Amino acid sequence: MPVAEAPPVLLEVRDLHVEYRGRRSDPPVRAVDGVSLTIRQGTTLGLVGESGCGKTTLTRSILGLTKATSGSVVLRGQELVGLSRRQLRPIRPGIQVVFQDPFSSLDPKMTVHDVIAEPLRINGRYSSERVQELFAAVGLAPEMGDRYPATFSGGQRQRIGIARALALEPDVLVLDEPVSALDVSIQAQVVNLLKRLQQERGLTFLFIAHDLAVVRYMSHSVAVMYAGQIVEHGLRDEVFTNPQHPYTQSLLAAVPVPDPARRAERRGELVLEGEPDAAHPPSGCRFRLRCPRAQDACAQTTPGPAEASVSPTHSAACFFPGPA
Amino acid sequence: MHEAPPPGRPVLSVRDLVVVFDGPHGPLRAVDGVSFDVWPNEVLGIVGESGSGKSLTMLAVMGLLPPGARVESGSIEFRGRDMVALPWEQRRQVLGKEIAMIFQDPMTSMNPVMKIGRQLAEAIRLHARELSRAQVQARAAELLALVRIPDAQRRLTAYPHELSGGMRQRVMIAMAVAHDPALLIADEPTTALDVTIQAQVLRVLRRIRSQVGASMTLITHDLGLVAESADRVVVMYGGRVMETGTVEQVFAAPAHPYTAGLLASSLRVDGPLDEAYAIPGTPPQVDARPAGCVFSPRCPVGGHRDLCRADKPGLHTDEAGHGVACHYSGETSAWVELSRRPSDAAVGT
Repeated sequence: MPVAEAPPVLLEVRDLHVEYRGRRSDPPVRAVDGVSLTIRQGTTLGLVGESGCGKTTLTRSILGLTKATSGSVVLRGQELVGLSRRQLRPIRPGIQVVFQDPFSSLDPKMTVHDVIAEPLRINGRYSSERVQELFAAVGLAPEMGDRYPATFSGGQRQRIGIARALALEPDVLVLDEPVSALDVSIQAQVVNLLKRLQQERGLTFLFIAHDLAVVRYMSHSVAVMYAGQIVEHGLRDEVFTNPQHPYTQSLLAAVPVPDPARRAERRGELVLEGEPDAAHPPSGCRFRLRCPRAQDACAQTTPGPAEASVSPTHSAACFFPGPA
Repeated sequence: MHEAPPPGRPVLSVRDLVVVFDGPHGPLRAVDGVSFDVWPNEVLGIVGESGSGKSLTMLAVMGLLPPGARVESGSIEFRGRDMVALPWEQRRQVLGKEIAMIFQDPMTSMNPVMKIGRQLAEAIRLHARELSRAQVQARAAELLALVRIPDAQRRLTAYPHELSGGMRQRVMIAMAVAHDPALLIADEPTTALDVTIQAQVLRVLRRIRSQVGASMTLITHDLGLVAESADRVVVMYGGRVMETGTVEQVFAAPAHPYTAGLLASSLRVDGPLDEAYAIPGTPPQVDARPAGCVFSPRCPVGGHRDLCRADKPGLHTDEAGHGVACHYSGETSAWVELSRRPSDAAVGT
């Protein structure tokens, strides 16, 4: 791959913490615990993790929907953490979201034209040409504009959601499990659409998914999250072909592969024991109770996000990194 | 694993099954002439997208079709008994005993206000009324150990919502195998679970199934799951069987363009990173299925031809047990080669 000038950083998250407090006697749950990420312009960062790992809380705090306890979120050089609602208002259009279930995020009583036009109208930028352009961009026929979301299939509804999110030309598009509710044959359609839109318009994506295969197709770089922390971070090929953290390795090994010839080999692979407990993390490394490599040191101190630095772009939060 | 059907009689034999729904303009054939066998000790994967009829087919087998749906024709034979004609009282003796179910979300099939231990005891007592209280308790503990639930005694006094998804699914499996069923019907048993938990549950299911000696039908949309867990596979689309065979036959050399397209459009953690092939269009709604081959409007191989639009192909099975319902299945492999040609649209870094 040619070494080109790296595009500028568009979104930077630095040492972000989000704590939820329950009963006074309980310690707060550190849902996001010191997360740092950067997304460069025109690229996709894939954020992958299982349920309860904090990826939704992280996303919500980037969007300003959940208050960060500490840390920083910088969009195009502007700090977002600590801004009031009023101060956020002019910045909000710069980050748009596409959710997993397009149906639940679309108003059933609005026509598709109005769904896509709404953000433009609110911001005084409505024109019917702009709406038509958005229809074409996501591959919807213009005559579909008079119909209601309920009459569309899942894949078409997701196209509507994408068109609406693009209406205000956001700096960053947050894609929160955008294809996980879709049929296999439709997933590929939407993934290809997103990649085409990114190439044509230089869009920047934060792509959140539990499905490693989708992340692999979509992302330029990948961050793996476990129990509130980023445990591995690198360029896509670094993370997928040379994973260093035992959690990343187990995650990859657990994805079923549609190839019966690999069955025997894959059944020999390690199945991760136990389940994460975000509310009661162990001392030291949060993964250590499930980790096949854990040693005494792992209980003493928490490995930093760049504890193991493999390359300038690839690091893992592990005292004993290495191939599986 | 076996290349040809094993000797003996199938546990379950479904022939030309038609399930209809009452629609506003007459009955709709949601399941449209489906046939397959489940042999002793095998796992049959039934794979399809939403609306393919895969779940309805198995609900018909159990006699649990939703209101408004009914078996219009065809036969369902389970261990020599005609399940369609079987009166409800006798069917009840079969369900939960000889045929047991594992559904996607245990929360919807468990009683939320009843402790795990009592639900398990009820499942045991339902078909073994002669057991004493102590015997039921012992069996419950034995079953929980079988599905490797740690700290089993404490879990017996928990409510379903107090357990994680993976633990609930293990309890569900324990209930399902309480009476050593001959057939397990698992409908998307791990779809709601995280991938590392899915791997744990699949391992439990695999071990238990071989201990009990049950056959299983695994209903799923996940081709990876079928490749890793099933011996044979039935690929359904639009209420019909498109292709069937051993997983080796179907995955290595798909003969139906739909199977080939589905495999080509599956996003994988291994293999090439070219732009994913996407089957054009969307699966048809049950009230808008095309005439002729139900896949023809989306088919990259034969779809434009008159024969495909006019005539519904039947399932033709070769001597090795590989069946395909396509007029032009001989052209599928050439299309697969073409679709595998690398494109230059891969993501650069």
